[in-house]
Amino acid sequence: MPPLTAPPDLGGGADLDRRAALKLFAAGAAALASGCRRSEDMLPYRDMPEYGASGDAVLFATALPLAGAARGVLVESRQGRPTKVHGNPDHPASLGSTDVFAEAALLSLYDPTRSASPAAGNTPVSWSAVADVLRQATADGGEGTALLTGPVGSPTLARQIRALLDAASGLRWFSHRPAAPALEVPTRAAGHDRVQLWPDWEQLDTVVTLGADPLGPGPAQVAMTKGWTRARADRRGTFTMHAFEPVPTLTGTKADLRSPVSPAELPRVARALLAALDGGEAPADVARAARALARARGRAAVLPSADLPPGALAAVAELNRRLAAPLARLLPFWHWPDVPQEDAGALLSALDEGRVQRLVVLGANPVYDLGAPFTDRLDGVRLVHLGHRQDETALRAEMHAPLHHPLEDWSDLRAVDGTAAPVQPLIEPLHESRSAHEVVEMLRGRAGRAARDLVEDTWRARWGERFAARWQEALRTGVIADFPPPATVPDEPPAPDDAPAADGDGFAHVALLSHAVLDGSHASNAWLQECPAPLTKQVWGNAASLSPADADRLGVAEGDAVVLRGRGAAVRLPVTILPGQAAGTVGTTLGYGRSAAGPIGSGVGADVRPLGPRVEIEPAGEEGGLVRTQVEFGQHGRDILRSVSAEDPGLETAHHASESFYAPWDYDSPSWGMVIDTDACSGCNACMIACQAENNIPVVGPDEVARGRHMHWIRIDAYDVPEDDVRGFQPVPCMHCEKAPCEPVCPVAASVHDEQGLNAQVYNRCVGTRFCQANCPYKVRRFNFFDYADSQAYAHLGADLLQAARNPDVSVRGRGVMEKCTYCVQRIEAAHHRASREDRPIREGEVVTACQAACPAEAITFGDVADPESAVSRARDDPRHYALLEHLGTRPRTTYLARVVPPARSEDG
Amino acid sequence: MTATDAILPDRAPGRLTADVADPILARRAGRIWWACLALFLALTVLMVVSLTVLAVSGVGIWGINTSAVWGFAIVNYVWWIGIGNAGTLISAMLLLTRQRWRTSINRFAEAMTLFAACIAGLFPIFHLGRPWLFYWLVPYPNTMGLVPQWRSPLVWDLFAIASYILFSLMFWYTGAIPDFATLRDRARGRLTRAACGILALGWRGSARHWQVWQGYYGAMAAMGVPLVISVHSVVGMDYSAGLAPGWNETIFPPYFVVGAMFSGFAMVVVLAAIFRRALGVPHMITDRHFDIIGKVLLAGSLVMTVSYATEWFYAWYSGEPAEQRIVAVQLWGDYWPLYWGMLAGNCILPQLYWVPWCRRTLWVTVPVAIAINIGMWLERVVITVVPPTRGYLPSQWGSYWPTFWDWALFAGTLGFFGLLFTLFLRVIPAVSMHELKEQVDEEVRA
Repeated sequence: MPPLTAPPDLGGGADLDRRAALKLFAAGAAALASGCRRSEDMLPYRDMPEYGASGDAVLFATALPLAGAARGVLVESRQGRPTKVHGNPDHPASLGSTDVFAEAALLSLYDPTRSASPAAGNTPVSWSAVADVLRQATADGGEGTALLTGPVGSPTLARQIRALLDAASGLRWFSHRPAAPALEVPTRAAGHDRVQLWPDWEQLDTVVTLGADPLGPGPAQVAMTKGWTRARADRRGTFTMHAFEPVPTLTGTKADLRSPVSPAELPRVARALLAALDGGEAPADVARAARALARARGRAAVLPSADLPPGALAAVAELNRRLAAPLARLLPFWHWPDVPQEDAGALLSALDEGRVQRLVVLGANPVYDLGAPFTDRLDGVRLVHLGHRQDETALRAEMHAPLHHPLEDWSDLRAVDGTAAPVQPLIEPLHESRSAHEVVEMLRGRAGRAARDLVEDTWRARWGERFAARWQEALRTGVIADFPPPATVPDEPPAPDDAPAADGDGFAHVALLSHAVLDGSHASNAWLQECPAPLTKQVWGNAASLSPADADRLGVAEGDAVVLRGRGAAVRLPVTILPGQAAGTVGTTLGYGRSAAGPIGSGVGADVRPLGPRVEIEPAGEEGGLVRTQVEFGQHGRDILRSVSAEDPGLETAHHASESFYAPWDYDSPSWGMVIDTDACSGCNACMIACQAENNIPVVGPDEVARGRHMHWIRIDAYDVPEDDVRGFQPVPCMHCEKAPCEPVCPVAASVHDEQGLNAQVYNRCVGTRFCQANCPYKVRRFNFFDYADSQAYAHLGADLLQAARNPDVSVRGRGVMEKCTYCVQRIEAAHHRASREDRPIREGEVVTACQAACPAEAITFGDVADPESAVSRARDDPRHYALLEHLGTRPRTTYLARVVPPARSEDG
Repeated sequence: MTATDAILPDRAPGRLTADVADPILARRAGRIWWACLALFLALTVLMVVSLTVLAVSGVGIWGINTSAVWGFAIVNYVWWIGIGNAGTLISAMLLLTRQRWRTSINRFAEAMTLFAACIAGLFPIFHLGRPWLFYWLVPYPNTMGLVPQWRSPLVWDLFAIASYILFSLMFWYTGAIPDFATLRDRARGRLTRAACGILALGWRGSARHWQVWQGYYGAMAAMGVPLVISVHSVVGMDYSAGLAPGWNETIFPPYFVVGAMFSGFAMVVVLAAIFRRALGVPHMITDRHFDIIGKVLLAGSLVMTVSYATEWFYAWYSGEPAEQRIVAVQLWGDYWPLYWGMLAGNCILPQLYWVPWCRRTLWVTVPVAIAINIGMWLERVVITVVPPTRGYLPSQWGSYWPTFWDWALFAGTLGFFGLLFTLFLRVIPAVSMHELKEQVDEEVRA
């Protein structure tokens, strides 16, 4: 291509003659017409498939990364745009369920504030300019250049990086992993620094956790919750979980026995367990856990936190060895044995030593994640950032260029257990972004190979001539069969005892990953910001949790501001008071205090990373700005979240259906009902976000939540369980009452009962008297006080692009209209259509509500209550079955199974 | 009988007519009148602005939320409709029971009813999420083939308010026809004469006119009494027909009716005192009137006190923890000053009316009446706002705090009420001249 002459200088008053103007116009038109992106092979339909015409949903299997690890998903596509994420039953990290992050990935795809094109500072640049810069970075062997990535779970990306390192011998690869999966712990085994513990729940009867939170947020959450809930359901009365932890986690909340211990005490608990196993003396709760472990030898495991000191971890390893624990010791998913990979600490030293002149950041945000230690060393380093947004690192970088969203990208990805899955795009890239695979090619000075080819190369090399069929199969099922399972890490040698951690002044500080924004990487997602913390119900921010005794001592009440000081940093947070938190500890949440996370995530909460392990707390003497969706956690003796003992699982109350003036309804089958097992619910919130995605539920923003106007159709109430010193969970969707109090009070018949037992809300008939909600004892109805969905949306959430995320089967509600859970009536109707096309009744299990599908704890059963054989009817026969506020005579169709107080508690000691 | 004991003026009919008609026809408006007009006009502008902002932005500008879905709009609706209750009660029930003292106050009490009921009617419409569709509550033939949902108390409410307003308007106008004829005959300007002439419907004061009029007026009064009862009973049913704790109480309909009468009479005391001063007619609105109304208020206060005590008793007796909790929260919760303010205004201060001197002394009786109005307003706040924030599920407990726009609309409607009254004083005979003269005549003959 001949070099282009420079365009005429249009500034400086030079006259632009007619010819020059026409030339420029023609050149501009040609540039526009030629487009900027190489298009993929796309052939028109020869025969239009039916779905193309009808707008029916088509599912594609792919995988979504969380902290770099895959969770397999099936993504629903409507006429070419993804509208809903479902779990992939074939994928080991999903098993058909999802987590909040997978459900919310949809919103981040359509986020209008995603970075849309490469830029140097505020000046837009072309991708070829980016490619030039990247090529130059590795031009002469890459000396002085460093590549920083997040955790790399993609075999193709790892292969590319190895090729890159081979080609540029001076280049160093660092990876930073701000959010490690649960049970990924340091190891002393030779040649390894981390090991991923992977329990086989089917083989487990007794689990003791030492600060570990396998049910908590992270890429293993779904798999762990599935394993736990199945173990609990299948071996009720045998399976027990004991938790020793400083700050209540989901795991501790669901444990049968929970002991609050400070972080400094955890190593002692580990050693005491070991001693008790040998018949030594131990405190009562430790002794009881040890007895349970000993009884279940071969079917018991101790799960440690990654923060335990080496000696304690070695003690745990020894415990598991003695117990013959069914606990695999896997290589972490990001570990590639033949690729030299260094961690963030090594990067900081390299920066200190001045070995890094150029830093290419690929899909990471070190300025936020590493904070001041990183930015202080950044002087004189040329920074190029490739990521999804103009985040903190992008703002520091000389050049920033956008990466594809995972739903736009080709790739492959390993799950935490090491299995691999293909990643395929659901939509053409919305913006001028590139795949990380393409970027690594640019670093190698090569261009032209698309991400899809690069990914296919990896598997073609592995599979040879069977590639075509196997790749098609992988894309269809969403899993790559026969990917070599990760090598196991050998058991570690015994460690010397740790220096006893002194209980210093102040409070032990325990910072956990956020249930909403994880490590801050999801801060710009409004669904997640408005997703309540499971135990405190806080939204749009983080807090400092204290034990009731400590709060008393400090003289602070819930919602008051306190200042935490540690390592020279001071952080102001509102207080939440958690029963069951160890005295002398303060719990906080990571991932907040982002300064460049767009209009949604910037300035929400405070960053607690700089604080370190011990903090001083002083009351700030003012209101802390605690925004919550639930304020009262006591049950006030009302039998709301009911419990039964494992020995006697029946509820003693007779089911008293009170009389009604109104005639009973006359139903045919099907007649829908739902049973929610409060014993299984782990409080992970997946149902809430799944419902939000499925039903086009708007986000209202922190101010509106503070006014008490949240919109979630299904909420998870948390109640103090007095006898346990923990909170229990109770998901509350619409009850679809037989004698619904909302129906008779609506003056315009917008709240009506249908022939399938549904309590339906007719949006376009609603005038907004709100009498229905005033009369709803469960308060499950949600009112559009403003036009939340569109013209009065929070921040930029009314943007046109976000409308593409909406489910076309569900109306978007306008201002002044009441809405509520419909039991996913659109899915019921779709099933009716399918069934009537095929001239058959709806099959059992054919209708799955969004909350039910998402739930990793399998707590929700839905189906035809008129069919005595259906799963939901069987659940209603469970002795634990009860209706919420049954005495009011509303006869709800959504009913509950009581919590089970485990036998472990009634045991001796 | 001393002068202050009299309930009827000892004056010639001609003087009486002049006393009432001259302020409208002859005297120019005074400075106080103009000042009041300006103040109330300003507040009315505030009301219009509030309603405009409301229509543009939605009910989200108020302090209501998912737990407390009804706020000041319903509070003010119930309060205003309560005030609007007394006028018709005075005119109709006292007419039927031949209470002679009603004649000097019934006209403005009816005006008060009409204005308050109209203002009350604004609230249920504007409180809707989509107020422009309020007519869907009306049964009318439509392409949707829908009629209102008859089981809803809100539909009953629409009928109750609509019939009440229509009735009040007709009753008030009918009662004023002979007086419009008087004004027509005394008017000096052609315009006034024409306007009053049209309103007088050709009234000539013939015996036949009087006979027809009296039959009709009496029949209207007989219809009016059940309407007075129904309108506020239905308001009570807006709450009690549901099953929300704190609302689901069968005592609500009668208790609301008495409460309405109570607040309405208190408002009559306030307005009567202002009238007496503004029109200079202490011989028509005498201390004896205040004495009688004071007794009515005292009776009302006792009934209210018993009602509150009944609520407490049944909360305890029901055994329902949610009901008990609500009473406890009302008494000792976040909103305790409101509840105790209500008890002070409705139960404690009116006990002063046991003392005749207090009933007759304006500077005692009027402040107590104002306290009753505040107390009754607080009662509506306590009933409307507190129970929904302490419902059956503690997870949904919340709070309600009014916003600027909540207060602005309330203040605006007070101003609008004042504006209507200020204009009323200058346009319509504020005392029923013909009835007064008839009574005086009967007195003289007796």
